[in-house]
Amino acid sequence: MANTAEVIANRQLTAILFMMRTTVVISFVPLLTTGDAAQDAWVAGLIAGLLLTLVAWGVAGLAARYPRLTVVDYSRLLLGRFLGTIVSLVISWHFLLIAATDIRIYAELMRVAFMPNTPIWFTIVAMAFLATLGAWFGIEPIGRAADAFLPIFVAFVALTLLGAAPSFNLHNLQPALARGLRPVLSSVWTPLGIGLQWVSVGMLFPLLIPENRRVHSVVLAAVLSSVVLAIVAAVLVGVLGANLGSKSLFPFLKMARSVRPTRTIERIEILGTVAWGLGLFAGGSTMVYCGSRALSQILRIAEYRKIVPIFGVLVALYSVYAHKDAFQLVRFFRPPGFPLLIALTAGVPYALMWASHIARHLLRRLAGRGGK
Amino acid sequence: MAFNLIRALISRLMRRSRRSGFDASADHSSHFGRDRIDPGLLADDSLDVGARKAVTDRLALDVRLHSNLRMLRLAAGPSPDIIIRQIVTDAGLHAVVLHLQGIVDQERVESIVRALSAAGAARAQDLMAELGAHLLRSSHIKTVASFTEMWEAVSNGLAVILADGHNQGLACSAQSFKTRPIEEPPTDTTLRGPRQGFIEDLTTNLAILRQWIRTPNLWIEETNLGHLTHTRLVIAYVKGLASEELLAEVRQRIQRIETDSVLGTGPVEDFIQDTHLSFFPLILRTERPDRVVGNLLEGRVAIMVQNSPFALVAPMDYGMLFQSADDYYEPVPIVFVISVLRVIAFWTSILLPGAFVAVLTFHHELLPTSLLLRIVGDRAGVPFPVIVEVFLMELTFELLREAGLRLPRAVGSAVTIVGALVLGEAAINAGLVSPSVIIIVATTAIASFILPTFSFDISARLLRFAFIVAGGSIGLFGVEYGIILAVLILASRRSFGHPYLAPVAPLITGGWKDYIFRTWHWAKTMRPKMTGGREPIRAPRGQMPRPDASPESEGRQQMRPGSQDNKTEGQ
Repeated sequence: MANTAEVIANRQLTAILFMMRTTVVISFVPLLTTGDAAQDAWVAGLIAGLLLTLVAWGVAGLAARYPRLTVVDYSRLLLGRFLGTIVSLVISWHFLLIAATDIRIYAELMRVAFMPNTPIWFTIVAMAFLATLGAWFGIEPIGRAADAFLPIFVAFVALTLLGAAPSFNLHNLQPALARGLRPVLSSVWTPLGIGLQWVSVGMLFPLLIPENRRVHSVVLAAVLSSVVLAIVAAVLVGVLGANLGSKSLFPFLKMARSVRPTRTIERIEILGTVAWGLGLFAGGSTMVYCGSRALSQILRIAEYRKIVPIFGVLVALYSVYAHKDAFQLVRFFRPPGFPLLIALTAGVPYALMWASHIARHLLRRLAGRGGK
Repeated sequence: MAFNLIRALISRLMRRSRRSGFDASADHSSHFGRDRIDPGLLADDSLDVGARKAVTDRLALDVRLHSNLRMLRLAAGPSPDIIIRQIVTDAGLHAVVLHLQGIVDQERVESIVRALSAAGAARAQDLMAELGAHLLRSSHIKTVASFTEMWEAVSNGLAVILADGHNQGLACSAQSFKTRPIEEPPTDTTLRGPRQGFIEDLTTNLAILRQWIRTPNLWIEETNLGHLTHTRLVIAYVKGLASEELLAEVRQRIQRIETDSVLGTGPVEDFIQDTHLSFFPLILRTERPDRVVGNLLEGRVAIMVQNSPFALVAPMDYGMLFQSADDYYEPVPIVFVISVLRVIAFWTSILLPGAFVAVLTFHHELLPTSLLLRIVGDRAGVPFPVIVEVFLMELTFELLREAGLRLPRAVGSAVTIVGALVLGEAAINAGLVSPSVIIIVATTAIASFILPTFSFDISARLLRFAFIVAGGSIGLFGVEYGIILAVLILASRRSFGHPYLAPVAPLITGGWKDYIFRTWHWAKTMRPKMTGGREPIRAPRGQMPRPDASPESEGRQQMRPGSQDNKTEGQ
């Protein structure tokens, strides 16, 4: 049972999910997210967005069937105590994985773009501390901060794209679907795998108000972030070209650096970087919060804040030691490894939970008919 | 033996006083009962103040006048400001009139003495009844039966009549406190608003509030705080507008205060605010009655304390820090531009030095080449890194500002201006500081002066140093880190249960009409959702000023014989 007095508005969850998704996706777009699609990266983004919307609906739909329970509660209810606990532990690991990976990507970006001499562990520890502090304060301050940051985030991403607009060349996007749908489809799986972030909905769902708009807000975040993914992919390829856009480590940063909007405003990459920082805070602190609450439920600890510092340390350690450098990080995301991992550890448990739910529902109906 | 008794009394007293609440303290001796106790205990010089209080709280007035006067001498000492006028009435009864010097109207006291002398009652009880019913023409007469009640009356400027043969006295109003005149508050001046500020006298301040809000629904609750100071504290609110939950919270927080002294609103704020670790003020402090009234009419609560010209207003939000009293007296478009300037100035005053240090230390590529070359050229020969340069200049400026505050007003501004000019010029000439740093520090200082709330300005000044360190250590990453941290901390703050950043975070649509940027008075049809939700409608819609008809038709209307406008000349 969700044992907390905290609540957040559906709008705040939409803001958190949107910033979280957009931050990670645009940092590597289209290198690993939609890289194989070349000039059709935006089509791959749209298809991934469509599938993500279905995933979001699936996750939120299941949570809506158990509106007062977290995913830890209903996984045990649906899959039994043993299997449910294992699934809950795996989901807790997902929170750790997402927070640590997001922070590592940001730290690599800072190292590559701005602070080559600063040790990467410093940036990681600093951001992990911020995420931990956010989780310590609770989901309400995180939601409020997301409310405050969202306009800045959107404005900065939009300004970066607008600043790059004069360098946009439509020829770079042509010819559309020249190599057929296969490379486009193969580029869909990584961005879809990054949609793992939506498992946080399983923990946050009981805290959302008003209740009648919960699923709507979760799906809306998926739709909006997918549209942004497609737009960013199109602008990137349009500015940098399919070849350069697919091979740069941080293409969005490269695009921002390659343009010079006016004679006085020569550089605009700081806007995108600030937006990333804001999105990373929203995503990282939400993941640490969800992970801590999931673990505290599994371990039957009433106050989740006791887990928060430990979880924060785990995130920092994982982030520092899980990947050697940015290239290994990119390899980690490459299909089929990453999408397969996510399919097995998140897709299968959710499929099992849905199956169990449907089976229980049918059995109850049958029992009801038998009773009559 | 006596000591044990006193200790037992103290602990009993403390237990009971914890249970007492608003308005209870005004008459707490009647709550506790008055077991007879020998005032001679007070002659023991080894008693500490707590023990003395425990004894005096238990002292009841005696039927013998000389016992009561001895009690007064033992409890209050040989204080020369306690005036005791001994009188023998026409009927031969011995009585006294007690008061404190300097806080009573002497003519009023003389009239009381005359009335007492002329009283014809033969028994003390009858004397008091006669005085209360006929002889003393006063709006405020009350009976006192204990030493505590008697002393409270005397210290409030009342004259107390004691008569031999009766164990109760009569307190009669004779106050004439010397207060300073009502003036414009120096911390919050306006160009078009009223030149009226609170003063140190609480009664006067309440009278000012009553002049602004005439409804009987302006409720004022009073209590006393401080075991030694007995400071009067009131909470003011509009009954039916302020939520009962908010009022209960305010009362509860004030009742929790147990201290020996309350010297102004600062200690009260310390006791009742939501967290003690906040750089930003969580309760609004203002000297302006119009600001207090405006907030009361939005469902907030004001807390005022005797001897302080400041009122506390709760709950507070971040937007209130940007509002100035003048905003409500100037045209909206002008106010909007000024408000935008204020917000820019606030962030400039916090971030500019830090961002400057960050860019010059780590991110040269972010500056246009010509600008970078100019700054680097100016800095040639400066022996310090830019972070030290900026830090030193900011520190120097803060020193000058503090010195300007402490110096006599006549020379303070001259010293600070001359000091800043001479020091800045000398530092540049000596090659210790570059002109660009002087420009940054000066811009930051000017920006910080735009902020209308002084307590907010202090927060901005302190944060600025944190951002300089962050920017100088890890560049713009540090500056962004600081911004996120500051917003997160502010987002986690509440003022009496209300989110500090509302209506921005959480986003509350409909709460923006008077948040940072004020709107037209006719457009303020709804109260803020967070505080005025109990009676949300403030005024009917559709009051935007617009002519009902065209000038031509209006002219025809005026020409019509017998029309109302025709009868009014000169309009």
